Amino acid sequence: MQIKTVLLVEDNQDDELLTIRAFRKNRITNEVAVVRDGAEALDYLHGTGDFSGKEPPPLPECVLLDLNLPKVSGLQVLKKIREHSRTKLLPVIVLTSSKEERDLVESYKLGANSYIRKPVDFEQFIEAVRQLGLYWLVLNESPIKDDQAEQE
Amino acid sequence: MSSGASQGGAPTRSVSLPAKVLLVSVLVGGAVWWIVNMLWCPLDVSDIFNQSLDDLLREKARQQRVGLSQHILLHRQTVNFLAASAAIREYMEGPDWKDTPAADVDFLDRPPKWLPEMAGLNLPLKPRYLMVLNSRGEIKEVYQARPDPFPAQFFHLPQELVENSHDRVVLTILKGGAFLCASESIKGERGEVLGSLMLFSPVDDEFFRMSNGEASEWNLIVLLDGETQKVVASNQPKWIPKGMLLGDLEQIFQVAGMAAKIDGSEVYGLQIVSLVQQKATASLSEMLQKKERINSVIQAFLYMVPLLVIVLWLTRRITNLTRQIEIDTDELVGPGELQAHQGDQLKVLEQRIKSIINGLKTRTSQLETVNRELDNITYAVSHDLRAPLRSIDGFSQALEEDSMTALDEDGRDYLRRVRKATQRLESLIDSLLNLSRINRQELRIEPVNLSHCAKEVIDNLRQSEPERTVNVMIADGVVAQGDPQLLHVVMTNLLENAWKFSAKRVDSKIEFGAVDRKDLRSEILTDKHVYFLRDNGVGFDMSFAEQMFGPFQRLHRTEEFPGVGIGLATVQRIIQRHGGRIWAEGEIDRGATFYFYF
Repeated sequence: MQIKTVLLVEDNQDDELLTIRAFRKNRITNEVAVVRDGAEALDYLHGTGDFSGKEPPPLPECVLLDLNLPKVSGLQVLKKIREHSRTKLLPVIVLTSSKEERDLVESYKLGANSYIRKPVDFEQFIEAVRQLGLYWLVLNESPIKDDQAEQE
Repeated sequence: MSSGASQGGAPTRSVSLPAKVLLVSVLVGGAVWWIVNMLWCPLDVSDIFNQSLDDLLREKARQQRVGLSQHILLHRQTVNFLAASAAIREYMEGPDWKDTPAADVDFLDRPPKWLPEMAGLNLPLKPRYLMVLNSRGEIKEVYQARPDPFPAQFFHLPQELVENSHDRVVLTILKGGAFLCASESIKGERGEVLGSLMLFSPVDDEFFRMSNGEASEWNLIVLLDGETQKVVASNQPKWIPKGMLLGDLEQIFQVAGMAAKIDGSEVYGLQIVSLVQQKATASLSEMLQKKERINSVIQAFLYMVPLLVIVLWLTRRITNLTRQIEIDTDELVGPGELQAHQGDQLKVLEQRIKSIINGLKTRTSQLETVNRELDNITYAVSHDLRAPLRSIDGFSQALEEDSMTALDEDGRDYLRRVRKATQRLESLIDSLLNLSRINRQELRIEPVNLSHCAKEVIDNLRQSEPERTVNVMIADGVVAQGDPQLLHVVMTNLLENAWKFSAKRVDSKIEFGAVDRKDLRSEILTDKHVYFLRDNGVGFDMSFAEQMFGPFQRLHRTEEFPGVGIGLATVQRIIQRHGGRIWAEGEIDRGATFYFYF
């Protein structure tokens, strides 16, 4: 079985590095595709812009979405993902520094599957990523996987 | 211009409010009173006046006629008394009585035998002329009290008068003069008529004087000849000479009443007229009207006085209020907006309120902007400030893990310090965010069981430090109205503090409950329940009692008691948001007590 990709939408390179490090520390071997802003994330998912090809690329296993993004904000990206029929069921995990309740409420309203606050303490961060990976990449049955299995 | 007032615009000088209101009230009140008086009162008043004058005159005339008839009655009583006396009967039956047919008359100039001693008798009046007539009606004896010439007309009495002269009083006119004639039969022992006694009185000054005392200048009575309408007699002969015609009288006097008869007598050929001087009427009328006018002025004044007092009181209140508002709002109103209204307090008030509203609008929009900015800052702090911290911590750890061998012990210690500082900064940021959230969060007021809340917190603390034995006393059923979430934060912070600061004692004790009102110091009077949380921990110096509620204020070193120093600030903020107060009492090494109400 092909190992699925995880899409990380993150503009902060430090956070990107630390996230990937946390993945590796937890021995999560999924490929991590990184995009730097909201627009790029949408391009990646729909195979438009820099990611245009003959066929739309396969959807990732899940999306780790930062909220504070340049160009198109994280919440906008989430909204677009849920609007589009192709990506409607894609698991989206909001991974952000924000502890603001309005962000949390708004994310769930727009259909986020999870809301995880990035802890400052790196050990806690590793633990958070471990649980995230365990749940979303191992335990959770993704509806996307089922769709594609049918197609195959 | 040096005047500060002119900076805000043209200075408006106007009359002060009380003066203005007073002036307007008096002017309007006066005008209304004048108009009402002019249009409506005079008719009414003159009607009333005329009516009352008329009534007055009629009453005066009536009183005069009563006086007259009483005087007539006295004549009748006198004649009755004399005619019934034994003296005159005995005289007429005795030898001295000469009832000869001849027409000779005895003129007596001293009191006759049949007339008892005047002095010894209480006669109702002293008769002027007395005549004794025989049974045929012929005058036989005449007595006059004064040596006046005897009026010859008495001898030519009209026949009907003589015939009807028994038992009656007659007022009549005889040859130009008015006379009163009263007569009574003289009867013998067996009742037979021996003759009659007649009393005559000329109706002259004396007669009137006796009848009615003093006549006033506007109070006259006149006897008129019924045929010629000429004056025969009056009570004021100085003004009304005999022979004056009624027509002439009416030029000068007003006729207040006329009668052809008087009670107690028969009147022949005479008219009795009551008169009032017209001049007297006029002056009386003037006097009455003047009095009426003064009355109405006094009335108007009396009506206005309470009104004016109320108006003055109200304007004074407005003035005081304005002054107070001016003092209170000086800071709120920009100097550019102030106009110098010196006099009228209402205008000052209006100006003030406008300025305040403008100021409030400006301030509100400023505050809204600031609030928005604060929100954005909070958001940025929450999100952006955390990211670099994460990098520092993350890479420090990465360094520690990956490049362990490249670092000596010092290097590793430095890295640990970096990470520790990072974590402390994070908890500071979190505390600040929490504090600012408390300010923004909307309150949801409902009953909160503080006892339950306290037990929950203590249970958690016991679990976290099971090795500690703390004597906790929590009063049951302490319920308060407030936001459950925020009150939980209050209880948590306070109990954690108590737990923390009593850690060094072997016999740690924590107590929570509501304060008995009797124990409250008088200066903290509130009608709300006051709660307390007491511990027997390290306590504090009372001179820091206020300071310890400030954010990041700590009374102890971090190594001694860990914490960022935001707990009490948060508690105070929450209690203030509930409209309450918190304060602390304590002593070093003797524990601390926190009191609060909301």
